Amino acid sequence: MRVTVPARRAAAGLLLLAFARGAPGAPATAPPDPYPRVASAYLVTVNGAELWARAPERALPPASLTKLMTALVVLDDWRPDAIVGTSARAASATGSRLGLREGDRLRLADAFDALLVASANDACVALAEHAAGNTAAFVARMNARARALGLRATVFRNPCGLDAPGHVSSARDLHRLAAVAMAEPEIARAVALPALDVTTVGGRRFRKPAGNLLLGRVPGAVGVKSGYTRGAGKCLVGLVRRGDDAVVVVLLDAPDRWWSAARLIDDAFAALAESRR
Amino acid sequence: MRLTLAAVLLAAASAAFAQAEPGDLWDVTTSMEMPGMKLPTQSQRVCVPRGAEGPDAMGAGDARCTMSDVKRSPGKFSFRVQCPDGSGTGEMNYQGKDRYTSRMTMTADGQTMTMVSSGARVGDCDASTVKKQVAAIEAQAAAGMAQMCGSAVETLLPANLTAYQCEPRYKTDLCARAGTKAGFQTVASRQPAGNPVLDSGTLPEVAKFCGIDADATRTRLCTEAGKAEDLDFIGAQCPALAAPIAQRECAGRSFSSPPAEKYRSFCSEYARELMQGGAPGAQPPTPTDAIKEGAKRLKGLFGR
Repeated sequence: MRVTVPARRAAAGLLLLAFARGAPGAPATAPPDPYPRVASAYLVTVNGAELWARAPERALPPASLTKLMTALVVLDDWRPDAIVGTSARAASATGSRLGLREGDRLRLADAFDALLVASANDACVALAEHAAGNTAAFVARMNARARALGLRATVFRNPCGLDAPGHVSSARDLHRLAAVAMAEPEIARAVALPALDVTTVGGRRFRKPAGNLLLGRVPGAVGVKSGYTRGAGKCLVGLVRRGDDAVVVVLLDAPDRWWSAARLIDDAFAALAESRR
Repeated sequence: MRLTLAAVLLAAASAAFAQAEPGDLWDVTTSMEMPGMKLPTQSQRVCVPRGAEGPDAMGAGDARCTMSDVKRSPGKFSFRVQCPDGSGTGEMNYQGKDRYTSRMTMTADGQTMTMVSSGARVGDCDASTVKKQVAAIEAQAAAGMAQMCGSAVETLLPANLTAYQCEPRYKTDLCARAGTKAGFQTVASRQPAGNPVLDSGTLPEVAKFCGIDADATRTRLCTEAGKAEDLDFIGAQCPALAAPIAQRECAGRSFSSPPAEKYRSFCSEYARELMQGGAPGAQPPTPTDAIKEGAKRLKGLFGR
């Protein structure tokens, strides 16, 4: 049973505008690529309009940006106080972890925050198993949602973004996915948290800083998600709002993603200011 | 006391009297023609110092011009004139003391202009007043020219020095400025724009104008910048110096433990240079190109 909160959704709708506010009569010209070495693929938008891009349709591993879709599918049955158990498989998840042990139990809302703030793969697997019984069934839901959203370059092979043959997305798809995700109040709230502080039912406490280093460092940063795997490289979707304007940066395989994102964001706002002179 | 005051007043009056200069007041009507164009006839009343000859007598004198080959005969005066913009000949024919007709031909930039005048003396005047006015106008023109030449130096645009026929010292000033870090940085960051004036201010053109070796100048300035830790200049112009600094202060630092305050701008620029495909100084920096192009694109998209 989906719990809806109209007022909060309305507020989150403003965030959606940051991604999707279309430019009336916008020409369909391909955005230029003035930063050819920033990433294997990238996309920068200003108030929803594509400003700069490189290979925005190219299918590449998205690493933990995948978890934006994971979160969306978890929200399909949003019961924040439900208790999520930790299977042996979840407890043995590799990569970024919260540190759950088999048998640990925690509130679904806490697991959800761990998924998005700390990119915890153990919480990710636990949530997927909780929501669909097993990860394969959950991934099927993720792919169904991707198709429904028109994410043509996106295919998921696991719920958490681990490297796997055929587990791919594109900068443009991830921009779209982030837009839809940020329209969900629970996701918008979680990805803006500077740190995670959750406690299991059994009293084990986990504190982790946010994986998104733009938060608190780049003025106006309000989310959304970073990711890294050996196959994907360093990835990021970042949303920065200054005044009524918003810049979104999607980077796939960006060797210096944080510095690059900060620079791209400042340049994009500078271009916007210049366009208004 | 009263005697002293009277003496001062007398002295002042004498000075004023001494400065007055007898002149003749003329009504002058002038028409000018050049190939394909005839300018409307103009009339003006001019005060001419008594005894003036040639263009000065017509109220068309120019301190920058010199007369030569002067020939005087009863009722007739002819001359050659050389001005910075061109040269020509003139002839005046007097009908008595109070009337004349004249014809002057000037050639400049391959075009010949003919000025035909007639003058009628209408009275006396104080030519010193006119001289003062002329001096004031000339001073104003000189100040304006100095301002334009100074601006050409400030903006490092040699084409304007040429266009304004600035004195050689301005070229010296411009070239000295181009040899400073700030000046060099300015010209080195310029890209050809297809505009002759603006393009004269690019590094190759300024180097040619000044007769300097751009690479040698850069090397000298980089040495200075290295001693002064001028990171802006190093980042933009001195790749050999920038690379180890960037490696030490930028690349080796994580985003969560940013570089020291003094290196932040440098590192930010470094990040942009890397994203755009080169190390600092590896090519003429065009950090604002993406922003300018982006602004154009956004204007197109949002219609602002």
